[in-house]
Amino acid sequence: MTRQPAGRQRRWLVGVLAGVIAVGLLLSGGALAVLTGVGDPSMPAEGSVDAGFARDMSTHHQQAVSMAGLVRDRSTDPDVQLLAYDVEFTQNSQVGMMQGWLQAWGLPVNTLAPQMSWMSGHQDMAGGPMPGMATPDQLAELRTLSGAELDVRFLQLMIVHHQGGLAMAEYAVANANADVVRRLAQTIVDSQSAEVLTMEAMLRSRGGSALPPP
Amino acid sequence: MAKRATGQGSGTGKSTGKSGAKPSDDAATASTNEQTAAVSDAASAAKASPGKATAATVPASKPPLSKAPASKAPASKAAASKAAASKAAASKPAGKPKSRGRKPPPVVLAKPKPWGWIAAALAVVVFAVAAIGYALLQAQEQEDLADPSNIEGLQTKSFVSAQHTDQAVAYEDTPPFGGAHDLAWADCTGTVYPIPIRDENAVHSLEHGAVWITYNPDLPQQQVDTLANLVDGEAFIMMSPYPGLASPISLQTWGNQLFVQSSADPRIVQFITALRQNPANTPEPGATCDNPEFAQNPIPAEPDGVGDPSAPATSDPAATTDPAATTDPAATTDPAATTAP
Repeated sequence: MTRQPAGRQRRWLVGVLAGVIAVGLLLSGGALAVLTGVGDPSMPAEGSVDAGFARDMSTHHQQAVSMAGLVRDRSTDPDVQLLAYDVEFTQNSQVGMMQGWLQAWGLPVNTLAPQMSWMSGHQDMAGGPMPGMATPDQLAELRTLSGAELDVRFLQLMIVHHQGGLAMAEYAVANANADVVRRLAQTIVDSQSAEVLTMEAMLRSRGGSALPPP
Repeated sequence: MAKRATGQGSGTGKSTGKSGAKPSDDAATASTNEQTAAVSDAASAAKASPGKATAATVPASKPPLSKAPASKAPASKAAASKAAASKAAASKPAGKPKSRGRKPPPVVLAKPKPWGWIAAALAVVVFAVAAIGYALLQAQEQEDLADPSNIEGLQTKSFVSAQHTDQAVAYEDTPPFGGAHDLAWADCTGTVYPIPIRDENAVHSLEHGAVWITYNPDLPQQQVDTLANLVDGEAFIMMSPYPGLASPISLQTWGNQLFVQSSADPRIVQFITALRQNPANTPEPGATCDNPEFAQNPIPAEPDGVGDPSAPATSDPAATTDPAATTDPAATTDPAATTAP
């Protein structure tokens, strides 16, 4: 009975130590979760396929928006106007989504890193330029055209533009990490493949022929 | 943990001396904790089999008295303590079963400090601190790229007015980096202007999130080319010469300005990376930089109004603050109606 206080003290000490161990394990578990991104699977980092796709596809889309806006203003063909309107608004809002991701990830919307460096697994395209983009000369020429000439040239350029975007989106479907990125990339693959077929039919019915794919 | 081990050891029936006192402790607390459970168990047992009722009711009636005669625990008491111990064992992580199955030494023994526990706690704490520290470090590194506060010499200012006007504006800063501006934005799709462009149009581009690089026309051609390479083909950036610029090169976004001496200054890339389309300095997010008409036929800077704040002959401050002057053209002018968000 005389030793009981010593036993109590020891029990008390063991209890405290067990508590310290429990709290310590809890905290290190939390820290490890943060470090490994457990429960937070969609936070791509600088240099990831996800960030590269979001940036380059934004730039790619922005050119399509620009071309479509021009043609929506100037074309006199209701079908071409409607197509241009569809391309312009769809791609514009997709640019908003992709730039929103980058902001949510805490990453700059643009960087000075070379374009297409995120497609390192694709030796034909890595390091740019982006496939399917119209050249400044092609854009300048488009602005000088009107009527049927404008419609045909727009369809030719937009088909090539879509085909280039498809290659980028397919790569992102296969290689991006975040679900939200792969999902949008897949919708781009699906909708732009279908739209290429539509535009090819529209081009044929207007007496034009497709340019070589990018 | 240690007491549970001793308790089990004493379950053999010995309940004398020190090792007997401990399980009795155990039994006392366990029996108060589990009193209700034991009572209801006993009650149901009594209902189920009246023949065994006597055995079952002993522990049930015991608890109120259990504190005093704990040290000479009867067999039923030992069984209760055993049950409590095994229950506790099930709900807690396993301890060290070193004394399991062995009779405790009769004479004990100042207990040593629980060095194993101390070492384990220390290791866990050290590991936790290291892991948390590393996680915090990583989190900080992530944010650096988009953080302009590390840019040395950056000047910032907040502009409340973002009014549209077709009049000339008397800007306080040269070049301006915020304030009232023209309805039309200067094309900023990686556009390299060969001539000085009008402030009022350039400021509108800043509102859309663009970076505007300006350089003194004296800047050596090699440095101009370096800047042009940086700008060409990039989104939301433009550059133009700026006569009378106070330093060889300056960079502007809405509310941010940086003067540098050379195109080799690393802060140029830092500025562009951190501030281009940064939501904090993009009053109109989602707006476009595209304005092909302006790119093809840029409106040149007014020669008298640029780079010479002492001679604001061409600007009319009254016009910039007059709401009638600013809202009227917005309603009628075509580009604003169709493209300006």
